[in-house]
Amino acid sequence: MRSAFWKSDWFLGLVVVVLMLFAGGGDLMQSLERKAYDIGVQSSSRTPSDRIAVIAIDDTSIANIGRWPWSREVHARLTDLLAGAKAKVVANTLFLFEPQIDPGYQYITQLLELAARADPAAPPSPLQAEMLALLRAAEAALNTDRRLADSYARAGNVLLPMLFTIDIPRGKPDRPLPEFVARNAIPAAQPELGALPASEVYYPLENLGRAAAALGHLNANPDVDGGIRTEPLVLRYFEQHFPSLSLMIAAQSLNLAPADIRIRANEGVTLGRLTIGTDPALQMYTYFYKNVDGRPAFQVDSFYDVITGKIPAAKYADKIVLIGATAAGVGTTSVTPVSPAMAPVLTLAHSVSSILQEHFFVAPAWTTLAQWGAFLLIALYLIVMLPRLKAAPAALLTAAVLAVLLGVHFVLMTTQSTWMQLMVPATLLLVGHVALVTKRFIVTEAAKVKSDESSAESNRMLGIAYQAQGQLDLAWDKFRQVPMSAAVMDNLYNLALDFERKRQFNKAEAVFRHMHDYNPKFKDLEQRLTRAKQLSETVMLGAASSHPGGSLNLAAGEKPKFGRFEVQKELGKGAMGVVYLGKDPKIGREVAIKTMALAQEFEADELAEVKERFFREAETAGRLSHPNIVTIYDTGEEHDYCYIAMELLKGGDLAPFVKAPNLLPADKAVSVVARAAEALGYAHKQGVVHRDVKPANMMYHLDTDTLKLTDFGIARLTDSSKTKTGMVLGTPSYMSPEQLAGKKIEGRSDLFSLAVSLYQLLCGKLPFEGESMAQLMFKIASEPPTSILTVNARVPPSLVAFLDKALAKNPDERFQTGEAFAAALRAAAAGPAGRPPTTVDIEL
Amino acid sequence: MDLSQYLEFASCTDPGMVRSHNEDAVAADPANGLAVLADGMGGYNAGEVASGMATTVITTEIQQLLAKVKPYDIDPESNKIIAGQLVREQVMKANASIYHAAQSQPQYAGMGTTLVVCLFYDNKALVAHLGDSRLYRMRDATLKQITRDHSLLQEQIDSGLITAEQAKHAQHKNLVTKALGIDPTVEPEIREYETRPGDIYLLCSDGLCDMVADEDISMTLEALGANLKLAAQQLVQMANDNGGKDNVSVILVRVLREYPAARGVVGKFLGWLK
Repeated sequence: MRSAFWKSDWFLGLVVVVLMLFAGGGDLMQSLERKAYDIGVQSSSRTPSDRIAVIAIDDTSIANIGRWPWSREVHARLTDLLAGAKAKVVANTLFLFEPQIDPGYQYITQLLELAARADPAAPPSPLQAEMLALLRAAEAALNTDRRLADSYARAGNVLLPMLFTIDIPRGKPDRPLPEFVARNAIPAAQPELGALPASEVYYPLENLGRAAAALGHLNANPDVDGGIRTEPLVLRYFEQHFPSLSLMIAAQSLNLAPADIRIRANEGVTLGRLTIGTDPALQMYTYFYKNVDGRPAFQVDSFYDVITGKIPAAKYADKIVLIGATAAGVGTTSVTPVSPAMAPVLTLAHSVSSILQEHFFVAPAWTTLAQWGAFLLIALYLIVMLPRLKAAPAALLTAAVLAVLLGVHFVLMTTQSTWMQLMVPATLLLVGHVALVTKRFIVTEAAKVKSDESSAESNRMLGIAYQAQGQLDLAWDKFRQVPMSAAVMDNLYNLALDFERKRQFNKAEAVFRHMHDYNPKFKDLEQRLTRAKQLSETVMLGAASSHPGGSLNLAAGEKPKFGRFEVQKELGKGAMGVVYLGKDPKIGREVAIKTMALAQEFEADELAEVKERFFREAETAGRLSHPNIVTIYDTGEEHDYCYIAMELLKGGDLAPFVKAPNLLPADKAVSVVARAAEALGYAHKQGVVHRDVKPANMMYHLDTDTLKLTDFGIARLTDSSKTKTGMVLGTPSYMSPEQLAGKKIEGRSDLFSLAVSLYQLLCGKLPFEGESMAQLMFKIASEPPTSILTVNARVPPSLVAFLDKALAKNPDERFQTGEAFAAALRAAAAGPAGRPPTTVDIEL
Repeated sequence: MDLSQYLEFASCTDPGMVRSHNEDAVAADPANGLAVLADGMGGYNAGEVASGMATTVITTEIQQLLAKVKPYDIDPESNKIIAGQLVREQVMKANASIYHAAQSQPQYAGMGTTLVVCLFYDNKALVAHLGDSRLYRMRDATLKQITRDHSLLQEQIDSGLITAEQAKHAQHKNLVTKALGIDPTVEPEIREYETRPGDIYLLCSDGLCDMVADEDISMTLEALGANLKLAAQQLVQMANDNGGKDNVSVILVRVLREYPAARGVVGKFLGWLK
């Protein structure tokens, strides 16, 4: 199913590219380029020419000398001062286009004319002569223009500004330019050199202009955003090309004339040996010097300070002195990359320094190509590459490309003084990326809404599938994403029941709660939720408590199962776990279920091995079929427990009967032990060693006088393992010497343990006792047992002899089989005289 | 490579005129060239659960796998192309899921589903099917049944007990011999076919082929082949017009142009560019 091309990613990229192509030339993008240019200018640092000095007509000067405009006589005085100090070049940025006429001057001139009309033949009277001299002096003093012109002429190195109107001339000039203006034109062979055209010109008064060393235009050509970044080095006025004041100053300072300026069409200007790169319109990208430590880049002195001699004029010897207004309200200021309001005289200083120091920026023709190349590459990236990338790599790549563009821009600016306009490609990249991401987001969202319904069904199906695979958590994850409906409620209910079966009540509770939010009245949800809540809390408590395995909570009615056996109630707690009363529902047989929380008892790395051993032992023991051995029905694993389902026995173990005054009658004890010995004998023949024979493992029902051995092989489990509780081992009171020594266990060890049990049953004490474990072990290993007669003097000697043999340290000296043990025991109990054994009462 | 520019997919499913539930399920993933159609069976709502599970599990799993491997990759162990193994395993996985769900949850007991899966790659179509959902191919104006039903009827025809003509009026039309989710394990029949540009593949449930004669299907595809969506709707409509006794589902796939596997660096790059 192909979607329309206009929905595709590449088309969006194309649209963005086309839009940027149009917007690229617009004010917005160009201002952005300019801003980047300004930042580039600010981040590079150069030292300005120290030959340039600025004398500023600042607020102090105006406050002290008088209201602006001043009499030109003041300027003349300064010029004289500077001429006297031998300044190299003096440039004035004041426009001296109109004559300055004092109101009294007209009368003086009229009076002079009248005096001139007097008869030249008649000798003037002394008074007349005096009057005439005074008139002449007044005329001279009041004709400030002439005074200034004389001053300029004397100095001979003063440059004055002209002003053009930058505009394309439509016809021919009104009148030819006067000679003093025209002499400043650059001799150029061809008319089309790329310079900006000018249609009108304002130049200084003729006498001032003639007195000036040269004239240069002081036109600024503001950028698209109104800032001043470039200096038009040459303007074309009809057929003639005029240099800028800055260029003229530079030429003058290098002792060059306009004739030494060469224009290289569309790319620059050569001044003697200086080559100044420009844009095609012969505009130089001026380098604007940053303020250093808060002080202006050039030395700027107050006009007043200079003219009053506060600053010695000698300071300006051989300097390029620029004079201009910086005071507020005098002249216009303009925006430059380094300052939002810069007086024209300072702009001029920056331009002159840029020329002389060759600090200007250039934008050679190849940068334009490179700009287009970058634009094209970005366009390709947006159209071809980006639609195929995943979100994260796309973002990374875009960021990287953007960094490269910005990096190239600033590195070129700061190190190569080259300006490449890369902000349009950079913006294209950003806009394109954002557009694509937005579009994708919108589309995915739309697709998501569209596919929600079908994905809900998919999730439900996957949920059922996972549940069937036993992956309940995954199933729950899927079901949770399905909007609630009656069908899902059924699925969730089943899932919760499965969780319950797995004893994961907290998860069951979560599911029930989820269902409850939708429909609390669903089936028996309320009760189930309450119970699951209860259970999840108790199970948590159980796990936290010290007793291993925790009890299954049976109070709440949910019958947990071990394999096929339903747990009825708890019978008691064993060493490793709890014993439950279970029921086989198929045949109604009651069983005892002995559980072991192996997962809690053993480390994970041991667990698999322990489990395997457990099942192997259980299997071996399960093969035993003897009236005095407990029958094992089943083993298995459930709820993190291993369990053994075995014959349910009436009565309890013999442990209570080993202490006075609960001792069994001696004949009973002997008969019980003899039966146990026979059972062991049978087991040993089957190759099964019990390993943990002790009264607690002999189940005895007093009323029916039945004895059954239990827990075959279980002890083996903990033989070599590091149990957490260590409880299984307890004290090794019943252990044989070889068992303690860690030797291979065999049937005769069981018989030794049985003999210990017999000893204890007969007298209520253990044959080996010690203050500590070590002492006990030592006694078992190397000391003879405490004589039973010291505890119970009534034990017949035959039994004493029997016990001595049965408790021999060396297995070879003991009874070798269970049957022999039993026979010898019965014989010993019968007594040497063949009398039936008397009841042994203990008197304590 | 994204196959959606090489293959055109259209699907339609309808409960039919008689049944209230739609126990059919269809899934198509044009980008991976995958079409799955299942016709569920079992009481209550179980049939739709079985078919839904089959399509969802198979589509989801294959999508996940195809994000990692290409169907035409060579399996290093068996030295065969991966696709067959991949589809077979996912079908078996879906089977196990449905089987266990049916076993463990009483309301789903006995559910199962027929299945036809079609995976397109490298100018080939890999077809796996179970039961009586079919795949047809329309090539050079000839409609051909590609899959052989796993049904009692088909067995009878194959063994010569009845003729194809008799089969049309047979009693036990719907007894399938193999299905998904009935037994713990199942072996789908998997075959591979070369495709050609212009081929139209039709996956359908028995609701279509029982109701509409092959000639009519052929005519419809010929007439409306240019507009797959319409063709799919028309096929369903025809089944309903003829009685619509069962759920009707169709997936149509047309091969627009060749889609050879991109092999080698250049091929992969070109494939990436397309």
